[in-house]
Amino acid sequence: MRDDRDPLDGAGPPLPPAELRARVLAAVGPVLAREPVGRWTRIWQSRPLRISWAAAMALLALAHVALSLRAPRREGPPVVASVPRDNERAARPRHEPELARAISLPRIDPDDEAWTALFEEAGTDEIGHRRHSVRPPSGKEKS
Amino acid sequence: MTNGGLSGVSTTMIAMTDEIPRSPAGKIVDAAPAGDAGVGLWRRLFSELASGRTSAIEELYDVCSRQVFGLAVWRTGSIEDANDVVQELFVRLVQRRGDLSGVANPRAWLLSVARRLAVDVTRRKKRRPTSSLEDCPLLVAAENDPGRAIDAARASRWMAALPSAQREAIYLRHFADCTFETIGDITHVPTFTAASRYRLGMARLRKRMGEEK
Repeated sequence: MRDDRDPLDGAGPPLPPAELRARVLAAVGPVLAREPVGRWTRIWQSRPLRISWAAAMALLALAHVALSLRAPRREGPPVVASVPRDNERAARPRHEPELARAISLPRIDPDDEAWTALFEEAGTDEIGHRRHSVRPPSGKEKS
Repeated sequence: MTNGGLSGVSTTMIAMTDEIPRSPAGKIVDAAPAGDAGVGLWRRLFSELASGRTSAIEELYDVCSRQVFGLAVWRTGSIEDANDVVQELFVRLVQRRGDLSGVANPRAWLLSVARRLAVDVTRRKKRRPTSSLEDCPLLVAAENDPGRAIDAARASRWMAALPSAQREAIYLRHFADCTFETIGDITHVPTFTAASRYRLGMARLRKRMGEEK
């Protein structure tokens, strides 16, 4: 069943206690004696804002540390291969033998054993009056 | 009490809220001028306080204490907490008196701050509003009539059973004489939502009233 009368008719919220007025005025008295605080000063002096700022900074620092620990470490040389110069041969990657072979082509590596052996078999010097294949001899051919 | 005008509320809103009661219930406790005249007075007091007339705070208390206290009681469910809310509200008001002249709607501003303080108090004390509200008289009778007092106590129980959002919408509409647009500003919801909360709350109250008859 529904009643269309006003359920709040004849009633109202309670009145504030009589002593509240004196209490409020006593509380605002010292504040009134001080200079009014500007907006920026209030923001600067706000404890919640300071706590929020500190929490944000701490969170950023923690996130930085956590991401640094989780990210995979980059070890070894870059993936891009390059032909090392003579003075860089000492730094030739040893843990990637396939890569090392690829970047030390016998055509440009005068110290390569297979290369010199090839010239020795042909009976020419490295400048070569006779042309030879740049492909290094395979182990089978060598043997 | 008037209904505070429906300026700012769309035609759809008016059609939807045709159940708005138009009784003068609010007058029994609302001594402050309501509607636009009240807003003008509040704005003048705000300007005077901002310009340095410190005695304006007493007049402002006399004008607005009933509305903010009632809202605090309805939101916190405790007279003591409502006292704290009103005190804290006026302390903040005085602290920010330099900025008060720029407040466009002083009444909405004060009620909004009071509401926020009341919500903070409720959260801080981790009190369940519905349980404490049962013991707190949200409504009192206007006259010393035992029959009225019983009705008010019963209506207070019904009100306590409502969700807090609907309860505060009813309060702001019925006793603080706010438009739905202002209620939306105070409670940080769209105007349509504020009107819906009011309408649903009143419908529930009427339903409860019909069930107990």
